[in-house]
Amino acid sequence: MAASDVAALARVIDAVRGVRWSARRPVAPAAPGAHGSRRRGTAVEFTEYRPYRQGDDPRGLDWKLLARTDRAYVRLTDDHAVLPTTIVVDASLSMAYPLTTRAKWWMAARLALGFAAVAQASGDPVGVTVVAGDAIVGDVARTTRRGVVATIASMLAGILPGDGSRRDAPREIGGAGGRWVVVSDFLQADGAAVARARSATVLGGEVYAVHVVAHEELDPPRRALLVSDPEDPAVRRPLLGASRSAYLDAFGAWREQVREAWQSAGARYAMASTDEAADRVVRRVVRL
Amino acid sequence: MSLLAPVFFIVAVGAAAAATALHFIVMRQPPRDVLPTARFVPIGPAVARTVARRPEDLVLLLLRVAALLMIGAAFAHPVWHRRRAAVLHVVVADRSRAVADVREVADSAGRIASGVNDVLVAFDSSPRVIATSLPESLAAMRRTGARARLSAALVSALRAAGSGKDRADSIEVTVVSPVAAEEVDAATDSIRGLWPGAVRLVRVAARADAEGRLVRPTVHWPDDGHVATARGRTSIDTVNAIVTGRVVVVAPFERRWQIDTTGARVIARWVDGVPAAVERTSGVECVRDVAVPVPSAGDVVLRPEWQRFVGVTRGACGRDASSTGGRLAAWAIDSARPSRVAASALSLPTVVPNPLVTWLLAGAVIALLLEVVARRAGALQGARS
Repeated sequence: MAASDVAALARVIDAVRGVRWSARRPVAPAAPGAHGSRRRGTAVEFTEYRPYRQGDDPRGLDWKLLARTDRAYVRLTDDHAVLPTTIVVDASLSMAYPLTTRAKWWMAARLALGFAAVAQASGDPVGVTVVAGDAIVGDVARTTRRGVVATIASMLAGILPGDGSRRDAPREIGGAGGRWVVVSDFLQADGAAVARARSATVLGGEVYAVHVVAHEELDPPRRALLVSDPEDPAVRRPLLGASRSAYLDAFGAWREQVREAWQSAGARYAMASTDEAADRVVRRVVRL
Repeated sequence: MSLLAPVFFIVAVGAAAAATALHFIVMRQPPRDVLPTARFVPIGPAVARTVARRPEDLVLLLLRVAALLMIGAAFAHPVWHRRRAAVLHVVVADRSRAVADVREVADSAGRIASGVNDVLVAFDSSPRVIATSLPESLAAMRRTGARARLSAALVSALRAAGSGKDRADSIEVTVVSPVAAEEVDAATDSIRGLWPGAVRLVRVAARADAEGRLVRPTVHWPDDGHVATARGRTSIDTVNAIVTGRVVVVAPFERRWQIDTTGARVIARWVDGVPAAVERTSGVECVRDVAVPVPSAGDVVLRPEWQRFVGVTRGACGRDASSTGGRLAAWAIDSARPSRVAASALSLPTVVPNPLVTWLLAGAVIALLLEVVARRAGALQGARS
């Protein structure tokens, strides 16, 4: 890990300073936070009165009102809770493209750090999980600790896409509630991620799918090439003049399929090209 | 050597260049690269048409180029041409009785006909074409007592020039003769006109006794110009001049008669070209008929030109040799005709059959057979590898 890598990642933190990431709907009951909660809680902000019913917590009774009117009312307040945010970053071998710059990986890392910074600034606990295939190659647990963003930056800067040497035990990704941000090129997606996203949204969670695409994938070189898939060397195809247009059509259709799959699962989808500024993508995603 | 149909060779060169260019275009596996989205590229042959820095199959290329060039050269029909001199001199040398000194003729002819290809036409009453050993022939040339016939000599000279067109780029005809009147006949002008160029004239001294043979003519010149050989014209007109040699008399003459020129030589003409006086010779006898009315009014008969005209008509027969020489001189200085005639202007040059065409075609066939063998050998080698 070079200091310059960390510094390059950290530039996105400054770029997204001031950006807030609001929950799209009331969040599940949790620790006090900035997002409106589905639970009527004990906060100081008064909302309404409701007649006391058997079983209500007597601590919710408005005793002064009972004394004045001899009627038992319960004082209701809106609760605010945090929205735990988990960012899942794909570090498979296909993210190490182009080989010279690894622009896809650095774009994904900058996006993850930007999302983490925005979530942390919103008071939400944030964590990052880096996966390569079925293995977790980097993980920062969700926390509201002040230095979590720097920890995430250091962790991301030290990861080499496709390097499976740091394999931790597989862990189920996803769960009830919370905010999940998946940053990937989705080339290894087999439908399981979309299914988990559907479960999460059903349980009240928010899922964001950020599709990282290299500029060279959108506009491959026009000279004749024999291209191969880094994750499947058996796939070797000639990228010539005629096949180039067929490739562009097929790749565009596949991206559309990916978008529709994630959106049908209740997730919010955004595509990020490597020639875009990461902070712009972050701002675009948090407004989805 | 030259090519009769160079367009075939040009086409062959173009085809060879195209074949060479095609050898630079090769089907080769393109450079490899990594693309994570390679799965979206349609499956196809992993070769692409690229331009190589060096031609592929150098042996095949050489055989094909050689075959194409040899076929093109064979169809272009290369021909060999004989070695040609710059100028072929055809010298018509007079050795007749009219020549004063035949050595003068030989010297003049020798100065001109010095090349190995030059042709000498020695003539008196009959011409003799000499194409070899010219110095010896000129040294042995002797004057004969025969009367010269320049027309026959010119015919022989033109034939010699035509036959020598393959040996030189241009041809020059030179006449070395005193050009006496007895050497010229009615056909001389026409024969000379067959030669497209000028005829160079080298005049030598005439023999003195040739002048002695000139006879005083009998002149028939009635005052009204009605000679026996003339008949009346259908319409009488007025002509303003009469010409004989270099003498011109300008005066209004009434032209009543049309003189008969059959078997006669015209010695004077009206200004419009109609014969006005003729001369007939028979053996040593010379008769002149002058159909010009003597002006009875005015001072025409007192003028010097009229006196000279009368002198010409009464002069000895043959004295107008100078006028014949002037005519030949006019041949030579004719500005419309070149002094030398290009040999190619006479006819197409003779083509020497060239066996090279056969060899070229045979070489092309061999090259094509070798090309097939080399191609199959390359295919076998490629299949094994």
